[in-house]
Amino acid sequence: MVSICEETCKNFAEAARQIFEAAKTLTGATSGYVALLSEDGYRNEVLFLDSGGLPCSVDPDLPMPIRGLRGEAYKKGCVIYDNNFSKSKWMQYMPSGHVTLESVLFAPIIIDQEVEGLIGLANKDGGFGEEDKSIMAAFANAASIALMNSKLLDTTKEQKDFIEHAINALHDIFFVFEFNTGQTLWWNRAFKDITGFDDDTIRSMHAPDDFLTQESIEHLAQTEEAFRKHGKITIDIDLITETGDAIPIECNASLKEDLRGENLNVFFIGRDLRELREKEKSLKESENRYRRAYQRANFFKDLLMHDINNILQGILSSAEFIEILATKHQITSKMEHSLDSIKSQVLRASKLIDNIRKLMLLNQDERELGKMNLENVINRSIRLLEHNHPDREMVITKDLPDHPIVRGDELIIDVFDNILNNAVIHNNNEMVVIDITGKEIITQEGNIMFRIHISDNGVGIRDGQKEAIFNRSDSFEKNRKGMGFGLSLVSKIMDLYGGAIKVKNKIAGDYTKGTTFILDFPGSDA
Amino acid sequence: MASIFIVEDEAVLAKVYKLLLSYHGHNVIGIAHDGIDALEMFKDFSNPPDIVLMDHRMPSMDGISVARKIIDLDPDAKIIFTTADSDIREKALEIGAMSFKNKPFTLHRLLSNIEKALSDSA
Repeated sequence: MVSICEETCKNFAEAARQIFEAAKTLTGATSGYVALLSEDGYRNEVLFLDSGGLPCSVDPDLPMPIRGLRGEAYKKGCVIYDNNFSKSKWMQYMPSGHVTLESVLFAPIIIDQEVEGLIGLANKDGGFGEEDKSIMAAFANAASIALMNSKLLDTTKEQKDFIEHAINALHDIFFVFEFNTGQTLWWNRAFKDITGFDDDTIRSMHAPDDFLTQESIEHLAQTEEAFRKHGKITIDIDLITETGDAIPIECNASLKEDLRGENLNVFFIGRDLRELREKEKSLKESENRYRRAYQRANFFKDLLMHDINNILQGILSSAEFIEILATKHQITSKMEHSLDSIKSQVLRASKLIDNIRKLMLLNQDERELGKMNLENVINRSIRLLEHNHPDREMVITKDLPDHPIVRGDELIIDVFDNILNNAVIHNNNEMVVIDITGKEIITQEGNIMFRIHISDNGVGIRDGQKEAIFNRSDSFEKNRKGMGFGLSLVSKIMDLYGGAIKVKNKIAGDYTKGTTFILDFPGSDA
Repeated sequence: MASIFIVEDEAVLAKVYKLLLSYHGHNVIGIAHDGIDALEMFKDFSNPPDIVLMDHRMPSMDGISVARKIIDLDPDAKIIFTTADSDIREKALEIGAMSFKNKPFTLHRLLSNIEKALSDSA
């Protein structure tokens, strides 16, 4: 009775030896070997050799090339034999000192139609026959299966080793336990490192309760129904360590049957959140610090603006009172000039504060836009200009389209206030001349736009400064003066409205003749 | 000529307002330096002032709250806000203030507002 046990098959060499011994017994051969083809495919690599007690002085390290009758077996892929081997042409390939061979049989071991090795038998009393050929085909087949099995086991082991290596290389924890019994099944190195438990302790513990804080056990219990239903869950838990510390873990758990379909296993993959929590905490502290600093800055800004405006009010009203008193006593031109200076400087300071406040508002708030009539806004701005500069002679012309309704809010007045005020302040002519014209245009996208030109005869803006005048408030350089923020405010308001502002010389090529501002306001349905 | 009640916590400003307004022929019937005083004084006037000049940021009670209570007492009260808090303009007008002057303003403008308030009530 020939039997090959399962355990033996795991080791092909052992299995092959048993097959060989059985084949030898059944066929009556007295010697032989089992060999596998080398990786390069040119040589036989002998797993074991049985000389049958005959002397053999061949160097066992001598290569055994694929040639002769052996080569034929490899080539044809079937059992072949020769009972007159010692007188055959194959003898020329035999090394000296080789055991005497009378009859020889080779049975190829085949996997996927490729010959992977040979079982060689020799010296059967009376020679091999067709029956031996059939027997050896069956034994070679058994050897093929054993070899295949062995290769499969090797591959499986390699894969298992690879997976184990990969899971152990993870920084995340990996942990498997049996759902119903809580028996711990599998864990990786990160799990041990984080918890501090050794393998034996983990093996003896009950999952998940022994590994979690009471709060996490309760949390997990609340999610059990959903976990059973969906078979997976993402949950933050606190893993308890050997020293009793709680480690926050973001955990993805899956519920899967084992390979036999008998038990439900829970697969935990968890990420240590300590670093993240530290960063979050630090970020929150930083946010709080900046929020407090911001609130403090806002508080001081508000206080400063309020109190300075109160101070300015005191100065302005006092100047006005002096003016009244001085009128009674025939004010001198020098005094009058000084009082005018005081009043204009107060208004200038007030305008600066107002511009800064509005710039900050623009940077903070989501503003709601409505419909604004440009003509009304411009008229109001002109009235204000004339009121603020009663001592300046001005000619202001205006030619606007009908119903110039644009998108905007109450800040729109600041667009014109700033531009018109600059046209007066930065103007050395006795007569200030301002032309305001407008037209309705249709954009490429088919939208209505109102384009307003405001030209003045002021001192003009050098080419190199034309871009910068709109961006002065965006720089945080020290030593920067706050005066001149007006056009930054204008630019930001135009951005807010989805419009645009450009500046050019009133007369091309000569900035000294004055400036033209071109403002595009997106229209709004009337 | 109008009777005017000044509510302003800055003593210097209140004094200058009084001088200027008096010079222009108005009668300043009282000055309050905080919200609660203002309310008490308003209740005590035998004849309510034609105009109340109201600051906003004051001790004990802010201008909006004082104005609201004054309007509750006298719905015809004419209150002109004179404050450095420009962001309460809408609120002030919403509760019934006649007008809103953002500091710093010129006397000329204040007088215009007073005249307008008086003519609107005439």
